[in-house]
Amino acid sequence: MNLKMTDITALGRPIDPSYPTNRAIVLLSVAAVLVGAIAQLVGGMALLPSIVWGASAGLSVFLGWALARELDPDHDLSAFVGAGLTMIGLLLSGLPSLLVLLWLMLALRIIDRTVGLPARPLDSLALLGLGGWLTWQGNWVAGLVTAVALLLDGLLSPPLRYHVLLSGVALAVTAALLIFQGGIAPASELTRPAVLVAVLLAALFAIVIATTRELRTKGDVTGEPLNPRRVQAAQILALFTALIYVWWGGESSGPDLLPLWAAMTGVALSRLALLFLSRRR
Amino acid sequence: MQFPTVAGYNLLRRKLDLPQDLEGELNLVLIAFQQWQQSQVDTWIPSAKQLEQVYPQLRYYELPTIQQRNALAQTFINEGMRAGIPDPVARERTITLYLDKVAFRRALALPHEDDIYVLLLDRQGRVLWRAEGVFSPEKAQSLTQAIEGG
Repeated sequence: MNLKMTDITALGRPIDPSYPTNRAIVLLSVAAVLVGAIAQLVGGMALLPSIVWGASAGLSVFLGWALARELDPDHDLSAFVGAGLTMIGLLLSGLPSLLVLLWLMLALRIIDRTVGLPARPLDSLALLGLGGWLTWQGNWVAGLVTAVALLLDGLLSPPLRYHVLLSGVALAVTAALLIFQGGIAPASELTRPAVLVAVLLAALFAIVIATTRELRTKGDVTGEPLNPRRVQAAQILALFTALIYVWWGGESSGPDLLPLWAAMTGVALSRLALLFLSRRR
Repeated sequence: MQFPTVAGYNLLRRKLDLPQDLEGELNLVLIAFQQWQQSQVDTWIPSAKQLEQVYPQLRYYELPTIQQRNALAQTFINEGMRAGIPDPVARERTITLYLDKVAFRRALALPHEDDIYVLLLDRQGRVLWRAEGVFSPEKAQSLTQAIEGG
């Protein structure tokens, strides 16, 4: 039996080194690993923790790029702006919450189907498992967003109907845990500048959502153009997640979701630049 | 009784050696063994915050205590816990300990893991006072007396 990766998962996107942009992001991520590890070593950290820090920095930069690829699949430039902004952010605020970002990446790929295929059962389990683990730890946003992601995938064309049922399960479990763990409490300290920055970036990204229509990018496996409705839904979910995190997490939500904010900003700036240039022609 | 020398990471990802890196002249440590015991820990937090304001020499910490795991599992658990606690102050004060739980409990004479334990330590890590389980006004009064006596 010849088992293909897509038989197991519809979320895996191997990095094809024949594309120069793929080679570039790999080099950029490796550079972030090395610079990050050396900087921590020089700063007095022990060898192993420095290597782990560097590896996390490299993964963060890669995620800034990869998240932007999900949010704006037609434009390579957005993803590199996202990766660059992540690098700057790492210098200013330290490492993000990689587990949360990996979970969010699963959710976005299930909705926008950049591979071209509906989620496999293992993909659904991975999203539920990781989202459930985060929710169990007190991160109710993960439970809520997991439920919304599954609902969107169960409703948008072509729908994966059993995800509607799983969405209900995710929502019920999240509600039960909220009751058990003590409910929703917004951030106690949220400064006006932080709110203003979040609102400004959200407004910029809303332009991206509004102007995402026909897409040229094709599904990795199917060769069919991506469904713009699904990509828009993923964009809306990303924005919703970022904003609800600001409300719940306060000041720490920026650094925690750094690659997501960087990706959304990169996509928005690139889209604005393209809109500006197209008007001038 | 002496708090054993152990190492852990707080949720800001900083390595700490206990009890020497505890910052207070007196340190109130809330030791939990299971995730569900967080609700028991939470019953103590308002009082601990209030006591910190009244007694500036006091600091409180949460110590989730977990059986030894490999580095990958530790990172996964720590990052999950961090994701559930967005408050930077709470992250700084939550120090996850991966250790031999039986030996740790034996060193502190903690008979079981069914409840949380609350210990008041002095600068050298000596145990000045202890309580078990959820907060109560009687325990708080006894703690206040211990702080004033310590």
